[in-house]
Amino acid sequence: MIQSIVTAFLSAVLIENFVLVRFLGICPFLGVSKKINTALGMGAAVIFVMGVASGATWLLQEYVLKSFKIEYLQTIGFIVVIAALVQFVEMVIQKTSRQLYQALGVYLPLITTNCAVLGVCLINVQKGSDLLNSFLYGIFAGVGFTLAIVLFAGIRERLEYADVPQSLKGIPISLISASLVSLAFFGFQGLIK
Amino acid sequence: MRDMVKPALKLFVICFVVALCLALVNSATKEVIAGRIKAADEEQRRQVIKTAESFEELEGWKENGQEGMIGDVYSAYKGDELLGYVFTAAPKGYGGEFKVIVGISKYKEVLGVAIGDNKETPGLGSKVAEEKFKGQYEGKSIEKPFEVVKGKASAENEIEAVSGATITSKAVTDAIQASAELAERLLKDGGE
Amino acid sequence: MSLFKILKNGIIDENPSLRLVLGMCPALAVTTSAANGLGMGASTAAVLIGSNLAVSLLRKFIPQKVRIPAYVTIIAGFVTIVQMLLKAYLPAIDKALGIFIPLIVVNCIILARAEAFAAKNKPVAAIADGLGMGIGFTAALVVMGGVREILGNGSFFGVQLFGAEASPALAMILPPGGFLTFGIIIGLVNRLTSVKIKASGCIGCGGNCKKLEAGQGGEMA
Repeated sequence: MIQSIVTAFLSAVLIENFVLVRFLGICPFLGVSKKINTALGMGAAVIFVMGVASGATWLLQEYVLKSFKIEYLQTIGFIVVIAALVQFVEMVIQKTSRQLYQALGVYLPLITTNCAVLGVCLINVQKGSDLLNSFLYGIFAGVGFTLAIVLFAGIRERLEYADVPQSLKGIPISLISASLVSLAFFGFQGLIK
Repeated sequence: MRDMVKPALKLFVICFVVALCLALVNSATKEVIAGRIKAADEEQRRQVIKTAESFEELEGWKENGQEGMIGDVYSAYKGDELLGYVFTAAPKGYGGEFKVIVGISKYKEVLGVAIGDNKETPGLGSKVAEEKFKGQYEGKSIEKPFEVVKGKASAENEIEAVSGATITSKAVTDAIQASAELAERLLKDGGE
Repeated sequence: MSLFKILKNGIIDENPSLRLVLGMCPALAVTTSAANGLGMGASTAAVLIGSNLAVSLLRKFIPQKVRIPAYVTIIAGFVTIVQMLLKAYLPAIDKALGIFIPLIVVNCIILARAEAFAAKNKPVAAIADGLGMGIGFTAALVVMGGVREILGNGSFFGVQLFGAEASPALAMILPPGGFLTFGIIIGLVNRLTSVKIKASGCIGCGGNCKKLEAGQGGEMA
């Protein structure tokens, strides 16, 4: 049990990193990764939303879509659940931490359509995981996302001062650096046999 | 209150219409999709035993206490004559489980191998689906267990691994080995 | 704006992938071959044209307050239809693109066009916009996929270009190659046009920054 959880954790965070290997959640990855602090806050919000969304969509899939044989409404159903959840998280953060809300205010509504969140829910269904594993995978994938954006924020803070050719400034150089980070993550392949 | 109700109602109408459209498209495509999946499976079975005319799903093979990675078994017939069996196995490769379809004749010989969808590394592990690798099994006897070797194969039962993808090569071989063992048992049990 | 101008705008001036930098996840994930890029581009274009038309037709019916959920519902509907049609008639494409088909729902290009164009224009113009943006996106994806396939697999649209001895740079069809190719292509476009890419610090919202600041729902790919 514990061993399989550790394996799942390593696999979701390092080997099949959502951002760097699976290409999910690229926009927030490039948009919010300018400062380590914001990246951490965004990461925390994503971990929470991904975990809860994984559980919620599992229940939706199992008890509503499957039992009424309306699996073709999956995409719509999932996106509605995610949107409602994000709204909820936004309200909670607004009430509890003003600072965090100010830092993340703009990006929070965007989690709804962060494809990493919808992606993790769809992957769970595809894998046929049970409730616990879906929930855990959501959390782990969120941790992987956070790791990627925090690491990348560190690099970008340095990039600010680098002398980059004019036409590569901004997005292009970020993508090229992301390529190198992604290459580094490739080293983790084969960590678990 | 009224300006809350009206948008909500309109939104509901939109959702309803969208759901209705989806239900229509679904009922129009459902049969086609189901038929296509069936035809694709049939096609894969035909690929591994080319001379077969019909396939019949074999029941009851699990009762003997071992199932392992084998998903289903079909008997292949030409007319009334049993040609052999088609096994679908799901070994665990480098990127998760994938399907291996194996045809084994009643003379204990591998007739064909097909590799289903997989998430193996493109360009490395995914090469097991190429003729160069999977063709190695064809025509070989299953009496001696297959072994994966790096570099040139020197004996009949040796399989040359795809370079850089030993794990995937082993996974395919494991699947074929499991199928071979089941085939031996089925053939010993009376051939039918 | 004439229809031709609207088309050209989507394909060249505001190419969604290369100029607005929208919809990056599919642009990176499925472009391991030119054919996949084409499949993804065409599917996205189909959804885009459909949702643009529907949103434009319903622009007087949809209440301002709930327009984002309404758009998302319409888009999700079209995505599901495309998904079912692909499964039924083009299963090979459906298999190759996998979960990135349902993920078209959260492709920012589609919501951005619904909001920025379709909601304010007549149906014919909205279709032209969807077509232009769709072609622009598809073209970018085919170029990405083509470059990666040639360098990483030594083939183009499945046709082997080099002899058996040539060993292609496998990394190009793996994730690092995706980031690298995209970065360099955008850099080249910048260089050739000498106009800087518009989105900066607001990359995910592609020109919808005002909407974001107002705290309304937005989108990311």
